[in-house]
Amino acid sequence: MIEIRNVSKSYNKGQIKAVDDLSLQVQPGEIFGFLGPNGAGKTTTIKMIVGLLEPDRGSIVVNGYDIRKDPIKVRKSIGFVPDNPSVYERLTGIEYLNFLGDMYDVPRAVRTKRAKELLELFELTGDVGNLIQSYSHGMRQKLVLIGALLHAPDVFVLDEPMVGLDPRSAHNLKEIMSRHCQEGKTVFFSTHILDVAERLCDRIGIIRRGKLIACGTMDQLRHMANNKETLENVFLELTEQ
Amino acid sequence: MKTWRLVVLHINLNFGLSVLRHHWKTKDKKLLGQAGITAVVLLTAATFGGMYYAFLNMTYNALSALGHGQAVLTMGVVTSSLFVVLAGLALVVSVFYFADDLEFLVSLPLWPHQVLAGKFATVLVNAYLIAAPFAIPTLVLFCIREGMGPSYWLTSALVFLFIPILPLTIASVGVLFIMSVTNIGRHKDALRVVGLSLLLMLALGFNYLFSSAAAGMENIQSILRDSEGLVRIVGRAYPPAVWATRALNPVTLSSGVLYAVLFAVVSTAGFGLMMVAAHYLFYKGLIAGKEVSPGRRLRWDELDFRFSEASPIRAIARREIRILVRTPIFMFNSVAMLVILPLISVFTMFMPGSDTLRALIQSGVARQTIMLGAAGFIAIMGMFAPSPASAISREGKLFWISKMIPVTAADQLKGKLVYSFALTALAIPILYLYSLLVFSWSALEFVAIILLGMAGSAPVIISNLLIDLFRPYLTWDDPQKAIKQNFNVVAGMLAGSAILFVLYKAFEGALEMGLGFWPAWTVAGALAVLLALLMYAYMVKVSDSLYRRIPV
Ligand SMILES: Nc1ncnc2c1ncn2[C@@H]1O[C@H](COP(=O)(O)OP(=O)(O)OP(=O)(O)O)[C@@H](O)[C@H]1O
Ligand SMILES: [Mg+2]
Repeated sequence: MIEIRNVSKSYNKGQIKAVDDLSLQVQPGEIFGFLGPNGAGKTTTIKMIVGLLEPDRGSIVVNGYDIRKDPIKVRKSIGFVPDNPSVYERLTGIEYLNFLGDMYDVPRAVRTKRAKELLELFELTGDVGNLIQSYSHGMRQKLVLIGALLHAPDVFVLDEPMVGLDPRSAHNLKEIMSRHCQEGKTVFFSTHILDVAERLCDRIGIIRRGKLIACGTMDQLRHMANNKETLENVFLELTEQ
Repeated sequence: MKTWRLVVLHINLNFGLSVLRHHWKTKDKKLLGQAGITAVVLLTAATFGGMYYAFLNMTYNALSALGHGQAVLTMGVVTSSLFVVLAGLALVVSVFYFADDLEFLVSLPLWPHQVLAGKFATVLVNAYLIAAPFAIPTLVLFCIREGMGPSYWLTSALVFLFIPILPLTIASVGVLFIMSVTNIGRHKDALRVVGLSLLLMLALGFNYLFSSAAAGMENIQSILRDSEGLVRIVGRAYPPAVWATRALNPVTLSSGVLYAVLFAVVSTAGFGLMMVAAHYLFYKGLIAGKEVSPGRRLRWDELDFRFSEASPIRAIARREIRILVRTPIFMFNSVAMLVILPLISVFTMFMPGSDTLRALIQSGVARQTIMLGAAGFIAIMGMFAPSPASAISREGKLFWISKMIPVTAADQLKGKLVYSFALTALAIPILYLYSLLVFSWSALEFVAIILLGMAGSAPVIISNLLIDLFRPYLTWDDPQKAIKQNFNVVAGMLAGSAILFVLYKAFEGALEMGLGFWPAWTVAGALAVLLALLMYAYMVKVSDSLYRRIPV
């Protein structure tokens, strides 16, 4: 569960208001898609949810824990995939996964089993002994994904996760996301791929210039626009001007 | 023209001019911070320059009485050139081969030497900063003491501009060569660290050989009889220094212009040579420079044995060590430098004529002083080998991982401490070697040295870590910037020196109060532990709130 209440965040001492009085809730068992034009404030919001940035105002509760009061418990509940998969180039894939396993206290047997499954699924088994430096962009992305899932987080947060993944991997990721929410867990992700959002998400939020301008199920969003055919039409109409 | 554009771009990036302009426009408070940092750096440089000036002044007094005053010019030029070569090596490697923008630059329609010229500009402006604390006091001192006029000012400005060029081109050509021939095989990074260390040894050894051999060869009388004798002896390792001296010396000032021109022409020719070398060698070392030869592909069932469990603190310490060892520029900067320098000084002990020196250091008071020095060496190693003042800065863009993991900042810092002490302990085998070869310490003395040294390193390391914690520099684009061109490293050196000075004063005070050598030794150790504990408690207390404030 994610609960964002009246959160604001500005950069450069208030000159750029990246997120402006944003409130939204994502329930357990829900996949929430976060849409919006470039620079709308998606990444900023996500960074605040996972604790990489401190909100100027407002509160965020993840899995029942307040990010300010219980930061360690929040972090234990979250698996995060950032928009740019930068990881330790000078470690091997397996060393990276082991490092994360140690950080999240995942017992050896459990981490071996999960990592093996995910590595097989994403066809990374053969490369995992090599330095991450030798990985392609997509391979890094997949490794970060596996790392984020290693501790079976209750809340899965992804920032534009489909970018750079091949079709099979993107398909697998979508499978994982929906399996995740069937288990009663929460998924929150931003994307520019409206098809994915439309087919995958239980609810969708659209953010523009830091403000949530629309939020709801696909049907609810359709009601807000004149041209109701596709999410693309809705999105274009709502984010105009 | 394109080359010039690149040069301007790199100078802009190096000094963050666009960033400054942005802060200026937005009236950001960061501007004040920047100004403060610049002031501290300038002050530090000025302090070093002042110390060097005082030293030169004494030397000048002694030499001018013999009529050899101009030899300080030669000394100044040789010293600044040597420092440019030494500090330049690591700088050149990092800027030429490990900058983030290289892949982008390579993709532009430019020749290798054009790209290199841009990179060289970055290195050169830094080289001026390295040379300045040595060259400027020299030039100013000579001007004041000899009462030189305007023509000297002009020539000396010209000489200063050319001083770092030749040493830097020498370092660059060496690096271009090493990097292009080591761009092979699986252990490329290790090869490179070894190659660069050899280059460094060569530079030092070359200088040492010439200066010591020169002193032995001719007798003092004949050197002093010749009015330029000393100049030529000092400048033997580096003839351009002699030209620079002649260009500036009032006696030879008439022909001085010629020597100034010679100095400039040879420097420019060196630069040209480097450009030619760059044209052929630069991309050879660079392309596929990031390529890593993969190991065997793993099979599914092999994975079982690849997972292991460790406590978070140990896992973090291990990560730090792995990254250090596998990043050539970090490795070269922190470990290799500190293994090479002591080794070279061991060699010097065995040069002919050093018997008396050895006898001296094995006796009485000198022996005690040297034991103290050895403990100090361990503590200083703690300041450099693990580079605790850049422990957080080095994470750079990857700091997001440290903020994500559910491990308290205090525990993460403990991991970094474990790593720092582990690297500091590298000083122990080096000292053991020393003991075997030169000092012949007893087992008890050796243990005492290690205990005091490690105790002394603790407050140094923790203070440095604290400094980095307050204001980590995470936005670097080449690793050298994190570890060397990082203000925290300068501040950490100042703090570390201050702490060691206090410890030394405590030792001295204890001796003066009538305590014996070993009790005074214990006092210094106890004070070090106390300081360390206080700072540690403070660090643990503030770590979480500081970590949270660091933006990513
Ligand atoms: N580090 C920063 N410093 C200053 N301003 C920033 C910073 N990061 C983001 N911004 C500003 O905050 C606003 C929101 O940026 P954010 O990265 O959240 O957008 P986004 O919705 O993720 O965009 P995109 O779809 O392009 O990823 C933008 O106006 C951006 O210029
Ligand atoms: Mg974004």
